Amino acid sequence: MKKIEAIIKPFKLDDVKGAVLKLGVSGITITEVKGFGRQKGHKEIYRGAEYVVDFLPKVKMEVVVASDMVPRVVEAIKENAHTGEIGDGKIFIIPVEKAIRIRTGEEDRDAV
Amino acid sequence: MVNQLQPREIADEFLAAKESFFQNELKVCTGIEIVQSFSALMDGLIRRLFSAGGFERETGDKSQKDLAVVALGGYGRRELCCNSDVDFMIIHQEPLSGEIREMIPRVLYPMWDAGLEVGHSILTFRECLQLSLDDFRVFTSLLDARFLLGSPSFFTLFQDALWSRIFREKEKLFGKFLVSRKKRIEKYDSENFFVEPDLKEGPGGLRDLHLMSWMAKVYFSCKKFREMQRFSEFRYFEFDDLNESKSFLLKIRNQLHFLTRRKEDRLFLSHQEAMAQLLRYEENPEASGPENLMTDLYLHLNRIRYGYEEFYTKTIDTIDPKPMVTDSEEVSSEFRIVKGNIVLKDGFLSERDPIVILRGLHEASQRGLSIGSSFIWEAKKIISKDGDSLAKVPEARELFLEIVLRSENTRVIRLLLELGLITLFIPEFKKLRNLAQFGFYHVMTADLHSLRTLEIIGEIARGVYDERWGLFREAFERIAHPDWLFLVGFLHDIGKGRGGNHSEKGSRLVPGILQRFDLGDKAGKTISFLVLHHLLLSNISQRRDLNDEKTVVQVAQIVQDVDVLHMLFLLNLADSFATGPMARSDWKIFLLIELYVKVRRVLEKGILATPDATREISLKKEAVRNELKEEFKEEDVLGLIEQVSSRYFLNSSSEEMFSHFRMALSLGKNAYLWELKGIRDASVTKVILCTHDKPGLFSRMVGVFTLNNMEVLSARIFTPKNGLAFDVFEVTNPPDRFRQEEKWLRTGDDLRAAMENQLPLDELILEKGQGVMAPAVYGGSVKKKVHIDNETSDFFTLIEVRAGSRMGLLYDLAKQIKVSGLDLCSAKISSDKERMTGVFYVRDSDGQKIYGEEEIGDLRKTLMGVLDQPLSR
Repeated sequence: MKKIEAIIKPFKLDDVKGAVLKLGVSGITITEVKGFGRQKGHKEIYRGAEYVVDFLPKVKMEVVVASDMVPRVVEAIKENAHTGEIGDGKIFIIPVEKAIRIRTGEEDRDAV
Repeated sequence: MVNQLQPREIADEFLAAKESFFQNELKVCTGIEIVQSFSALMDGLIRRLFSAGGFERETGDKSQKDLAVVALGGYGRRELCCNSDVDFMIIHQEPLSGEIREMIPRVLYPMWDAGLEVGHSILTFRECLQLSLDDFRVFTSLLDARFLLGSPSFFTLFQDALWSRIFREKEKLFGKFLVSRKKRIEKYDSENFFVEPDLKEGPGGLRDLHLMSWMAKVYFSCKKFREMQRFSEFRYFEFDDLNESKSFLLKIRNQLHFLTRRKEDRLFLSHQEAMAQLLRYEENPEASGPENLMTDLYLHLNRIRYGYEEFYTKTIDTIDPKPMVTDSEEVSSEFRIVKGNIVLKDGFLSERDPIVILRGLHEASQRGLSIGSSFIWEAKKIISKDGDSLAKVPEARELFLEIVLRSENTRVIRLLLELGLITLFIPEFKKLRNLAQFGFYHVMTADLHSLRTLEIIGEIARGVYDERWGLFREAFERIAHPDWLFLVGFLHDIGKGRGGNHSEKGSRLVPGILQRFDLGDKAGKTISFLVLHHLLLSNISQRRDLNDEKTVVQVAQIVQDVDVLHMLFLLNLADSFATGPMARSDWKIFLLIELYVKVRRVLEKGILATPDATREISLKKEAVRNELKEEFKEEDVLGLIEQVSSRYFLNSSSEEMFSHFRMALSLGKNAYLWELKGIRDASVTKVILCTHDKPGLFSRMVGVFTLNNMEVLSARIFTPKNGLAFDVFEVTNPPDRFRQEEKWLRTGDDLRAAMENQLPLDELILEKGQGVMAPAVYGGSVKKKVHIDNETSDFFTLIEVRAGSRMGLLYDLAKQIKVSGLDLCSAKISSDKERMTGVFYVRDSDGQKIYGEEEIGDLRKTLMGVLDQPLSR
């Protein structure tokens, strides 16, 4: 079992969510986050004044899936979050030791 | 409450019934029977769960009279597929009673626990009506609402309110229907989705059928789609065919859900093999099982797609009956134009001579117009009934040929196909109809591919490609008989679907076809020749060293005539452009152009370069001396020139020579020096490299590029006598266009480490192939080949390989070539996510070709061993 954590552009959330749900993933957690990657210190000019934009709004999406599903889910996120521009985001894959559904006490595969 | 099962038991019984459904109904029933039966199974589950919760089936609940449970969307239509969402809604008037509130989780939890994807909503009457207008998806799901349990009279009340609202808003809704389809087609009508179609959302998918049935409900008050037949405008509409196609798609979709164990609607390439087995599509001499499955699938998708388009045109005409008098123009005694369509001036087509069909199409083709839908439907009926006699009429054949040759009006050409006229006049074309070719390479069925090739030749003629590829039109304008080129574009694949070599089979069919159209012998011979060799230029350009004079001369000897060469070149281009993105990469087009230009020079000038070779070498040496005389000591330059072989001078451009010499003279203690040059606007970089010759240089280079996600397209390796190596590699650019420089720096660091034996290439490449995201493997069905050829080149043995692509394959081959004690002098590789083909020009360590039968046998065996390694590790 793995947790897939994806930082994506907020406007891509609907597409990514739709594609991931289509794969049969049953739960997704979303957090609005701010951060920067390669574009740090990137300056923007707004109405003549220069601003240093160091934290950009992003969405962090987390899903936990069986290991054999990982390539499919990652592919779906990649395909749908992609614009080809700077700041499309990143995907991290993290091992999950155990998952438990609180209501029933089911574990691992049965719990996700 | 006696004998009442617990919700958990009901769900378990449902799961057992579902399993038996998979084993029985799913295998033997038609698509429509499958979904009806599965919907009934689901009805049973939901009714029993509500009933176990204390819900009285007919009267609702004592605590809540005005309540109904309603199935929505596909489930409402009784078209529930086995892993689709189960959408239902609880609709009520008064606030929910405590009993009902408690009951709902007792229904939902067992459904969730049974692994069902439940889409439920609990809405009041008013909320639901409001939502239906705000949210288009809610609206369409309500169009198929079906009463499940609760109060029937309350449901009727709700339906009445909903539909009176819909009828009030129906004009506004029309736009929404169209936008929803437009958005869908934008997303799904691409080359990717052709090879791996989405059965639901794609063009011609189930959604197109839903859209038709929704429009029938909203605009024609037809609860069942088939009721549309009672409208005279739709009397020729092919309801039976569409129903058959729907059943086919539903069958495949359910099997796909079963196979993938999820609601997968897209038929990925990786599933096509297993699906063909499940659906008992077998291999025959003409096509593989998956190809036969896909051919059937395209037939149905196309039928629905064009059915929808006809339906839509007719619907617009019917619901918007305002006569547009100003737009009606008489064009002849037979036709007039209405809303941009050619239609009959009066009466019915069935009362006329069938030749009128071709006259109408010809008129439309000439004027760049389309054809009215009644005309099309009637024509289809007439052609399927009396087509044969029409095919014998000389005027009909002439008109047909003229339409094909005037290919700008692609809608009319497409109509020729849909109406069955192409197969009527050219029955040989039947084998191409909906013919699928398994894999990513071809992004269209063979019939559409032929039409697309024709269209591209038309585009070349009109100068569409002038900006980027001026040469195309220049070549076109030199052709003596442009009509022949159009014809061969149309017929080049006519030998497909017959097993064996399609070029040969096609070239044998051509004369007979052309005879029927009274085209002369000369046309027949030339077109037949072009069909036979329609892959010659692309095959040679991708698999041979174009710097080798012999390659060019051999092609010139086959082609012989420069006019034929122009046509062959343009045919090859149009064919590649129409085949798909893998066939038309900039790189491949560059190679094709290079070969064309070289062969053309030989055919036009008639002089072979050989007598000039000595002169050319001394000219090039002179150029190097001149170029470098200010930067380096003349004796150093001359000394280096002495070390370098004649072959190097013959096979290198001035740019490459100057770079190599400059780098060689300043290499010093550096591990290597390189220069990177972009190649026009293609995403390819030429790496001109100078380094100390090391064993396995080629495999090290390939390893470093592979590690940095660049593909090697070609390599030339020269080893001067002084222990240096002069190489030219052509590789794809690093994938990240924003960080090219950084990526090249890193590649350079890796190269240095590799040269100094500091980089564990074997290990790193193996690891890369095993990563979670290692590229998916598609090349399982590619036929592996190792061919060793001593004929093509006078100085080298050619090793040709073909295999399914995998990470590190080229690296492994390069290593094996080195282990076999061979010197690699040049290589050309073309690979995509499916297959890799490569040609390696090699010599043994004494600089000789490999002649011994035993050696050749051993070499073939060891290389085959590399190809035989599993595609995924």
